[in-house]
Amino acid sequence: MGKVSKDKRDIYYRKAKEQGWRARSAFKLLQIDEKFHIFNGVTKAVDLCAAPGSWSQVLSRKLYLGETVMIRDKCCLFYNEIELHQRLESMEEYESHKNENVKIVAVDLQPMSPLPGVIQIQGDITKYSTAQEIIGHFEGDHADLVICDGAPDVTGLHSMDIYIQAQLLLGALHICCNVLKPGGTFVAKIFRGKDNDLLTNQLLALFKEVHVAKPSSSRNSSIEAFVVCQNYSPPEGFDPKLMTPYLDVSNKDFNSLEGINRVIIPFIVCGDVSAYDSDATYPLTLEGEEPYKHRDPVQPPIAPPYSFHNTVKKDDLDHYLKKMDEAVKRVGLGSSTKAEVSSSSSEAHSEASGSQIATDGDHCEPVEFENIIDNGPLFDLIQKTTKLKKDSNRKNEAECTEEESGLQFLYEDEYTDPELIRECLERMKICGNSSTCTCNYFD
Amino acid sequence: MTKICGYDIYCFDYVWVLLDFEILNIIMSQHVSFESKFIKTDVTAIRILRNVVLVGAGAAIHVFQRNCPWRLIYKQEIRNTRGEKIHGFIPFQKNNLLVFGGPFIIIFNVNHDFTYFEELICKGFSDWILDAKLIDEDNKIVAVSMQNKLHILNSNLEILEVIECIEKCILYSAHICYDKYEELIILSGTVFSEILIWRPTRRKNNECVLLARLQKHKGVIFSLHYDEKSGYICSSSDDRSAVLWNIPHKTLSLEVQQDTINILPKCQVYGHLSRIFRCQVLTECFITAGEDSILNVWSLDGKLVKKIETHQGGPIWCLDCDELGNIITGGGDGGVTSFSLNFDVSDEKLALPNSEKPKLVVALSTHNVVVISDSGDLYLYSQKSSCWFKIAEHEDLGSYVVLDVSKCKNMIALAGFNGQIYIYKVTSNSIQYISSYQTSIKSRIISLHWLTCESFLICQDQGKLSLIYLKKESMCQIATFSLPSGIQPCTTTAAIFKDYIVVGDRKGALHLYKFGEKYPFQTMKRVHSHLGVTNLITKNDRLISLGRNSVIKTFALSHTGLLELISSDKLPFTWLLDLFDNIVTAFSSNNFLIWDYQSKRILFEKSCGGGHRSWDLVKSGNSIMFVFVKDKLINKVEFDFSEVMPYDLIEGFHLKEINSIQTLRYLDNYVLVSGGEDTTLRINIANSKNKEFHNSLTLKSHLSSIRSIAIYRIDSKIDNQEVHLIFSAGGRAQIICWKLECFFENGQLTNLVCSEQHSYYKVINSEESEMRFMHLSVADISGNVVLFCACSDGNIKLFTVEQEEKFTMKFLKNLFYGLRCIFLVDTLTILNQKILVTAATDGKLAFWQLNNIFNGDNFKPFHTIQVHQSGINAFAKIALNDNHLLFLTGGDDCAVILNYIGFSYSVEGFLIIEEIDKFIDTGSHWAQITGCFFSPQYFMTASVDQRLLIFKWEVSAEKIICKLVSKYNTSIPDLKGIVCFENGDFNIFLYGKGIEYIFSKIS
Repeated sequence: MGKVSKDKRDIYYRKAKEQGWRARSAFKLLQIDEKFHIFNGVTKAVDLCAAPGSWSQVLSRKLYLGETVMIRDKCCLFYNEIELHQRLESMEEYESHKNENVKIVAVDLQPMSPLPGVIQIQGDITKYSTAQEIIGHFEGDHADLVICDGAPDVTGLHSMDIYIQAQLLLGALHICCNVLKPGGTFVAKIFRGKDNDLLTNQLLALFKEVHVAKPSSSRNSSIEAFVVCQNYSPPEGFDPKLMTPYLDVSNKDFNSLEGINRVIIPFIVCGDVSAYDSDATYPLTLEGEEPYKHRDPVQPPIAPPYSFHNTVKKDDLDHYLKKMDEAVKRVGLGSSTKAEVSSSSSEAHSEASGSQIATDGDHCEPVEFENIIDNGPLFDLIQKTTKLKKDSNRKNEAECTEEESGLQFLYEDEYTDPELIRECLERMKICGNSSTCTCNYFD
Repeated sequence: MTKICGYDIYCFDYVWVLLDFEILNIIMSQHVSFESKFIKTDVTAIRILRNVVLVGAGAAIHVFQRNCPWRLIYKQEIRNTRGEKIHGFIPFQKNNLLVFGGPFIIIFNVNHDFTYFEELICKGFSDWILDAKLIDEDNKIVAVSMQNKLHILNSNLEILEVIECIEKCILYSAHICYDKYEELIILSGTVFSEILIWRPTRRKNNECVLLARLQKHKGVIFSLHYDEKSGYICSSSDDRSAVLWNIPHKTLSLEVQQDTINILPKCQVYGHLSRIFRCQVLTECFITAGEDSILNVWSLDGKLVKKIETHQGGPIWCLDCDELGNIITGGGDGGVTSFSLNFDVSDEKLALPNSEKPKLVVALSTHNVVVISDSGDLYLYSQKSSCWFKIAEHEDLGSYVVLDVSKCKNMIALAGFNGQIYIYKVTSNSIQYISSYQTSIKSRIISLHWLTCESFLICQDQGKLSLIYLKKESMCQIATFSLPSGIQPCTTTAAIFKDYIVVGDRKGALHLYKFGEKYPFQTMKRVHSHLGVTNLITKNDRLISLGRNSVIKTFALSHTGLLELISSDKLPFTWLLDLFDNIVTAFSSNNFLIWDYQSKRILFEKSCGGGHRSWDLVKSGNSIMFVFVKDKLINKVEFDFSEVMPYDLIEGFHLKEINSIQTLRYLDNYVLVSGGEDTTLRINIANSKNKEFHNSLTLKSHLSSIRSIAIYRIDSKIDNQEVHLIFSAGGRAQIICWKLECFFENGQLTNLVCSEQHSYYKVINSEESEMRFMHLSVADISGNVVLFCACSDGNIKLFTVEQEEKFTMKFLKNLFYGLRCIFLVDTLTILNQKILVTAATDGKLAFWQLNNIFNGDNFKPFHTIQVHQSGINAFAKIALNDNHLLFLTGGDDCAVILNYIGFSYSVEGFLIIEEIDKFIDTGSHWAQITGCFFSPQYFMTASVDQRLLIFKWEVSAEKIICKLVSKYNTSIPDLKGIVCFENGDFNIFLYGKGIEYIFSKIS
């Protein structure tokens, strides 16, 4: 795939790079905010499963730097330096408007590169100690907003993937209950599937308002959606530090429900009418934009989870050297003709490199050799013998005719009995078009 | 992935409470019945028992009887688990069967041959079950769940105890060892690359202590297995490796009693291209099965013994082995296949006597081998006495010889430089000389091809071809032909096809000869590029040609008597040799291959140094012999074909999501044309009576996924034949037009032929964005067949379909909607006007007038209706009368909306639309709606939440009244649509990741 193909396929991917976001998912949070105003009045926010950090980046730019982020860039028909200058100037203005009282904590097992105003905790979101550490950073206060955009590696078995995503959400919810202040907001990713209703209904016991939101930057074909839980109001006596206080509550609630009275969680689409369509194919340069230029990703991952074939072990190296050695020996002992040497060395080479890709021999042979190869299993023999024969036949022509005379000559077909021809054709028609053998020699 | 802990997370504990309501609901609306006729989806559980095999496909248990071949004897659906997949079967106490899947456990009472199932109890638990087992003489059930907990249950599925391990972590795999509580040892595979060993009897502060932590992997552990007999643990992971762990004290129970447990990797194997989902230790080997569809068999010291291709490239989800060395796998393509792990290959290298050098070799029906040596001596290797016999000395064939054996492997012909021909025939343990002749022109015989076992064709200098008939001992020349001048006289193959002889040459051309005419009646150049034709086979009414350019082509004779290309298929290797019994033989680089054409897997592979050598293959019954010359030796490889030939218990289908299905109905047969993410277009026959489903044709021409299929019927000039045009479109902005011919005899469908007509694909320059085609619709507009195509860049592309030599699509124009991805297009006729309806990601229905479509420009929709918040994924319509319609739409926003629309003309004479009423349902589905079906009384919707809902509707006094009548939970995930036929009852096909055929009766 080319460098630009992803840019072509996905407008938000391209726009994310243009606007300096670490990942396109930044737009999802921005669009959720557009609809639910989750950032209003927030001074303390927590981002769980933060790496690579695009949601933390949104928190940093919106809350700490106080930027007004426009999802859709203003279109200017003629891109000019004055415009750019104005923009840069306004950027500088933001710098001076830093909200020093805003505290953002990002938690992940993976490290990520720093962001202005974001305190990083490299830790496990399921540990109570992590919750305490977060509160420590808020000087004993609780958070106004907890967000989580984590997702597992999908296996391909939908219900299992959805289940694991739900586990991840509940893990995040657990820490959320420990750090969120009453009235606070919790936003997390879910996968939509057959048991979605069970999960979202659960959240209603902890939050006054629960919505399932789909930002328009999230593709239609994707099963992802987000739960936006507002106004945190845990039941009285609810202690999130305890292991299983919640089970009874939920059961009681549910037993009182009639099947039909099941609470319907509203589904809300975010992103205003003018927002880009994540499913549409846009031209690389939109009307009114400066000409398209490829940009590298803003922040490549600094710690890939694990990589394959990263180290060559001594064993592998020895094995490889041994194979090479064998191959060299084989070539040395190979037969004398030039063509054969070249073919056997290429054989040995492909064996030695252990390549599993079936290389079509024809394409890697030299051109003059290709002709012989091209002409099949017998043709090289034919050519050789033709040459031999030409030399010897001149001398032995007389001899030859004598030798042949042992054989009876075939008549040309015009001398063949028409009856025989008819018989042959008939039999051929029967035998030739049937798969079973009808040899008459075994009667 | 972030670490999550196993706090008692409360979510799924009450699953069954809610489900009870759902069951109740269905009982209340009893008058709707559902019968699942068949289902094909991910197979996630397999258990081989003595006489039967249990297969879990979705939520359906399939019972196969171990007969020759396997036979489906019973099918049992699990109805009240919301379509949760089955992940395991455990028979116990003679007549009980425990089934688990997701958080559910179900116990059935069964009879001894599994043809009777009675559900005793079904229960949902608070956590996902990874492994379960019966312990203490089948009195208790233990189950390990994803949060690393062991649940102990009684046979009524009541929880006796939940035991937690000190390490709280999400597991992807677990294995329970031993079957007594006191001995139980749990192996847990974590997200964090570790294998934890703990046992319920070793606790501290009521939590189980960790006995050992095995570390070697670098990713999620997907599978764990411990074999008591061999005493090894095997693990497989996301990191593409599997590890065999050595237990120093031979048994795990003994090992865990040691002060220091010292379980270390014995070997780590890499043999998969992606994640390894399953592994199992057998007595003398261990097996790994991956997402890449490969099943590898390894020796216990880590050497690859056998590599098997299983499910068309789709993942292997589950497997089981029996003591006879059979392994049955279930995969992502919905298939279940049995393979033999036994594989005895006899591989011999034979030298000719008197240090003679072999030149050419053939294999005979008797499995004897005939060789002609460099000096012209003819040898026979007798299989019986394992030794060589010299049959004859042909000194005149010493420096040049052609050798060919008839298809039946009974007749041998030798030919020489001066036109000599010698014929031998096979006898029970040798060969016998029959006759010899010389052609009147004493020129070299370049090639000789047996046509039948009594006639052959020879090719000589100047392209002279002679057909020779062998009557008893005499040879007669029957006819002569000539290759067109200027063609290198070297034929490679010949066959009789109807009344013609077809000859293939080494430059890739086919020549068709009529008797009595010297020059070809038809020459088709470059049929197999410039690389040459390798074989011609006649089968039924078709001629099949194979080439060295990886292509198999099928021809038929047209009514003008010319060869006509029917289909062309490209295989994954270049040098094709033969096609018989649905297997293809080929050379690929240094290897000789036997490939299953139906299931597209390599059955056998042998390194022979490549195709530039003399070789032959004979198959009689199941016995296969392959001989070839290498290093001046005759190599003879023999094996039993049944040991390499897998058997499909359930035939595989699409390996990824099916995006579109179009259906034709013929009595009890449905012809389903399906296309999906795996880029294949498949033509399938489903039978409503015998509930069978067969994938008749698989066509792989698309560059990317198929998103939409449209069918248009055209008039057939021939009786007993129906012709349809199929249009398939999708990724990379490609549309392919196919012609589907259905043949009938006495009203019964007998044959299906599908041929590619035209592929519309424009190569774009690097600056442009390549779009996707989202949806198709065909309509007849003033006598023209017009194809409408919804595009992801906001255009609707119009094509006219014209019949030239083949059917072709001619681009007409674009209708531009806006920078929105358009999901749906459809046409309708109202008030004698053709109207185009489109739906896009903005949730609007747009209506366009088509009356000036061939000449006009600047088309804009004359009306739009905002229906959904976001994308409209599915719609259906029904006409109430001449100018009133109901539009049913299902959206990404989980809403089902019914729009009551009226059409009329304004005073100025413009067509106008009036929105009369609207019905909105937002709570019945809880994921995006992807399928809609409308009938005169009912409508149906299907969603990614795996539910099919049936609503009853009526319109009275301009108001829509709707009521939810019933629902059905399917185990097809990621639903993409519904196809339904109604005639009193409903025949419903639900498709997504798999397909289910449901019969529903509403009384």
